[in-house]
Order: sequence, then structure tokens, then C-alpha cells
Amino acid sequence: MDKLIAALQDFAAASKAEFNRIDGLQGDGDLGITLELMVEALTEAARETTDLKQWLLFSGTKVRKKAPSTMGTLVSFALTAAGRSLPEAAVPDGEAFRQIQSVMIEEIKKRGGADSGDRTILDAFIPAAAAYSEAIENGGTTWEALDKAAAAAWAGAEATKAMAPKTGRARWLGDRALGEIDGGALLCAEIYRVLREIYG
Amino acid sequence: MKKILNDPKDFVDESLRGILLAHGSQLRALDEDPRAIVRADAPVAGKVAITTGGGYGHIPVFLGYVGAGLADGVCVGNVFNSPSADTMLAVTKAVDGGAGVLYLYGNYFGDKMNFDLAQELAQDEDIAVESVRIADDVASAPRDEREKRRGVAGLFYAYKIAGACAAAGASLAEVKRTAEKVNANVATLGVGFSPCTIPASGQPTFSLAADDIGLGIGIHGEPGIKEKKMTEAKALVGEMLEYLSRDLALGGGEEVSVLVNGLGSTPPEELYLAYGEVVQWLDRQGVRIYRAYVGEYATSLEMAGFSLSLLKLDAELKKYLDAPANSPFFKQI
Repeated sequence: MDKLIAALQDFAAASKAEFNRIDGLQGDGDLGITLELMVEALTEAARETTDLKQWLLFSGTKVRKKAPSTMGTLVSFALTAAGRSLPEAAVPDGEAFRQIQSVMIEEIKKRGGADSGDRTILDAFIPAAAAYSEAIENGGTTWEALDKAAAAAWAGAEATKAMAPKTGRARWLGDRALGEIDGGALLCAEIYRVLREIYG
Repeated sequence: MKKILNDPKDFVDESLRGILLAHGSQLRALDEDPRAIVRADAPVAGKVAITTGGGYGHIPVFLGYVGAGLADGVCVGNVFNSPSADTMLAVTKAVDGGAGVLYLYGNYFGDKMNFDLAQELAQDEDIAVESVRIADDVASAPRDEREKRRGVAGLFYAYKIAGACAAAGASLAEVKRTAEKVNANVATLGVGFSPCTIPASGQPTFSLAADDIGLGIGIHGEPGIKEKKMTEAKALVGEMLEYLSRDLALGGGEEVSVLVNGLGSTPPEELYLAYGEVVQWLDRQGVRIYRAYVGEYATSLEMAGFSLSLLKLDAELKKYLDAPANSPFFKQI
């Protein structure tokens, strides 16, 4: 858990400006700030518990309060739903991670009203979770599964360059958003990369 | 960027501080959340409470309509950004007078997501909550997809009428029905001349060529229907009213209220000139005007331009429109 938190902090600090820049092209330019605030929330939650289920629940509430942007709110819903779905004292193993990803995706779809192809975080998240799941089913280790997931997330994020947005503030941009990567999808791909590095 | 501010990150909080200091007899912030602002006398026992909220930068929308005969509380987000569900929940609890709460706000994705969550959390604590999102901007979607329209200056009519209905002692269901009636009978179209700049980002919200105007540009700079060359007032107002009267299927013999709203840096002298054109145009259609509002009712920081709103009236809406209202930013006796 400490390694995860430390890695996320480094990641957030290093990429804040770039995420703000990308988000500024198609939104209100605060994705980097949101990322920083979300990581602060996750860090605080990690100080209060080392239990996976509790950490997800605390993180969900803290992210909601600290980062009320659209991305922050959706992530907070997703973390809370993931926490609720786990049994008490759930072990952080491959199966738990699979469930967390699946529940988070469903919650983001439900709350955000978007799906694949709408040029959102889901365009990276859905293929990543599918790749992870397949790798685990085929007997792969957590690292191998994260490796496949990170590659799928990256490909999904790249694919958003050719999509016109259908939701959120970017929707008003329409075709002007083509050619740029979606900030949320990129964020998702980068998170999988960080996770893969920790478990490697 | 020549703006009155210190650190841009503190713009909202320092601006709110000034408002609360200037109008402390009518407004107060909650101790636990400086972005939660309510009527000084909240909660008003036995009355349906109305809460609103959204991004800062549109005064008098949203905060300016907290007062007697209007809304009871507001949650304030960062400039053009949605406030958090937690702030809305805090406002809800602070204004609840035991008769339920109506969330009344503009139809925007982020606000809907956060306020729907606040509604769930409030209902978990046994507070009855209903929601109505005003979606009056005809530029953002066709009439048969009205639920996608942005909420703009028509919000003023919603606050005025739902606020009067609540002040008269109506039930939550009645206040909701009245707000929905306003939503179904109001239409707004704006035109942007030049953008505003958001303090924290230093970026203007849109760009236009020097003598172009943007018909239908939104109050956060969202793209509109078309960009065209500036024309004479008579032609511009006529074109805008064509859109509005068609949208409302306005016929001769009908009665409307008119709102000519400055978006932030268009002077009253020009707004009144536009109103004169509105009167002439409506008169030719045989449409009567009952109450006109001319001034700044829903702005976008220093955006230049204006919007026209028409509200189709019946006896009930006129009664509530006539009722008194008192907030630091809007008074009607």
C-alpha cells in the first residue's frame, strides 16, 4: 500500500501540468489539479487504514470532498462502489482486483451515462479490465495481467484521438476535439502503467 | 489580465467574503463549509425550501437569488465548475424547514451528477428532495430534445415563480410542478460579442473575429448556432425573437414576460435599446407584454453580449411573478 501511495504521489506531481494542458484543450483545464487532489485523498485514506475494502470506502468519500470536478466525482462513486462490493477483510489478490475494476467501470457508466466510443476514461478502462481479466483466467500472475492491461489501456487511450466527444463539457467541442487524446483515457492508461511498475 | 484579484486560486473565496461582509444581514455562510451560503433567517419553518447551485461567475445566478420570495440556499463551485455533493447536502440540511427541499438549478452535466448524489444522501437522512433543472437555451438543442438544453437566464423566472409559490405555503409537489411549468414555457437565446477570461486559467472562454458575433454562445463559452457579422439592433433582435417565438409557438393574443439580460459587460443603455426593439416586434405579432426585466440577471463574468428570454404567461404564473421578492441582488415590491 505504501509503495502504491508513494508511486501515485510521484506520478501526480510529475504529470500535473501536462494533464492540465490536455484538459485545457477540451475542458476547463483542471485535470492535473484533480489528479493531485485525488492522490491526496487516497494518501489520507491510506493513513487511516491498511484494509483494502476500508481504504476504497474512505478514499471514495475523501475524493468526493476534495475533488468535486466531474472526473473526481465519477472516481469517487467508483471507489465507493468498489469498496462496497468487496467482502470484509478482502485480500488484495488477482480476483479482488478483477472485481474492483469491473465494479468501477459499471459505476462510471451508470453515473456518467457514457459507454465505449464516447471518448472518455472508459475507452481505456474497459479494454484494460478485459485484458486483465483474460490474463488472470489464463493463469497469469498479477504482474502479467497488469502488463496486458496497461498495453490495452494505452491502445484504448490512443484510439480516443479519432473520437468526437459525446458527453461532458467536451461535448460542446465536437469535431474540434479530434486529433487530441482524451485526458481521462490518458489518465487511466498512466495509472495502469504505475500499477504495473509497482508490481514488477 | 486586468482583474480585481490577489491569487487567482483565491478568487471565489475572497469574492464571497466581500459579499457576505456587504450583505451580512441577509446572507450567511455555514461554519463547516464557506461555499454553502443560506438566507440569514434559514431555516424557514414549515416552508418548502429551495436550494440552488453551480459554478461561480454568473452573478446574480445562483447566489444572487437567495432571499425572501426566492431561493433559500446556494452551493458555490469554482468559476464555471460544479460545486460538490457535500456542499449541496450541507445547504440542504441548513435550509430544511420540515416541508421538503426543491433543488432548482441549470441543466449542466456536472451539477446534475453532484446534486443527484446530494439528493440521495439527503433522502437517506429522511429529507424529502425533488429536483428541477431549467433547460431554456434554444441554441443548445431542438425543442423535441429539450432535456439536453443548457440552463441560462430563464433560471431567473424559475427562482421568482417557484420562490413565490413556496413563500405562499405550497407543498413540495406544488412547488416542483410550478418550476416545471416555468421550464416548459420559457425560452432564451443569447448572442456573444466577446468572451470572459477565467481567473485561474487566464484563458478566454471562446474567440470571435473582431466584427463577428456568436448567436447562441453559452455562458461558459459553449459554441452556439452560428457566427455572423454584427448587424443593426432591429435585425438582430428580430432574428432572435423569430427563434424564440417559433420555439414557444407564440401566437397573437398571448401574453409574455420579457427578460433582456446583459451578459456582463454590455451597458444598460444598449440593453434598453434592445428592449425597445423587442416591444415593437412583439406588438406587430399581437403579443402583449406583462412585466419586463432589463439588466443583468445571468452573467458570464465580463462576457459582452446579451440574451432575450420570453416566458409565456397564464394567470397562475402572473400571480407568482407579481409577488414581492428580496435578495441583495434582486428586489421587487
